[in-house]
Amino acid sequence: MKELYEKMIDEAMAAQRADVETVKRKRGQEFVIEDTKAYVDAANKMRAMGIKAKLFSGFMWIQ
Amino acid sequence: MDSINAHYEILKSLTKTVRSEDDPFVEHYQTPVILEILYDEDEKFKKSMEIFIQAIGKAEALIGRGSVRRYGGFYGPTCVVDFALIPGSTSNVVNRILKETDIPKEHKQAILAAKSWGMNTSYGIGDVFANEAEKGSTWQMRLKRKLKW
Repeated sequence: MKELYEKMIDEAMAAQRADVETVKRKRGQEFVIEDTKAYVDAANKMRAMGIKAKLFSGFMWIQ
Repeated sequence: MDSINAHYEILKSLTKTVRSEDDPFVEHYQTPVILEILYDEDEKFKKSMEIFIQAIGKAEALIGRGSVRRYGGFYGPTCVVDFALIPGSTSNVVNRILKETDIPKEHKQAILAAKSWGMNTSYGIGDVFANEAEKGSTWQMRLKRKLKW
């Protein structure tokens, strides 16, 4: 179980860092879609472990 | 992962940048774009959508009633963006209009999905009407503006 938690934290932090680093680097400049590439790359490194879980990403916004 | 990659590739193919308020990773901002892609993929669906838009124009009485009921609290506390077809929700009104519209069932399902789970903007039935009422315009004018939604 410890392994799973570590994996979850590592992957979440990698995605977070990708975003934060990009924002740091590009603050005050125009946002372009390509700026999200770092996050996409981090997400693509995520792997399911143990039970064959599929990564669900997305969220619902209800106003 | 497929979802993230699809978002990235599709957004990149559509535009170079977005304004922060466009919030492109939220469903109801994606739905209009998806509908446009569907129009390109299937001419017949586009035709059906045009018929549906005309049907909205003809549903003045239904939309008027829905708006008045919502403004007056006829249904009690309701959620206009409720995806289940509860009375008073936008999906409910859309569904009623679709029931009387002569287009293929699959197209009706796609339109309903776009206005329920897909949301297709966060506009809820009766909103323009309620705002006009508070501003003090006449009932007729309120309905007229409402129908433009």
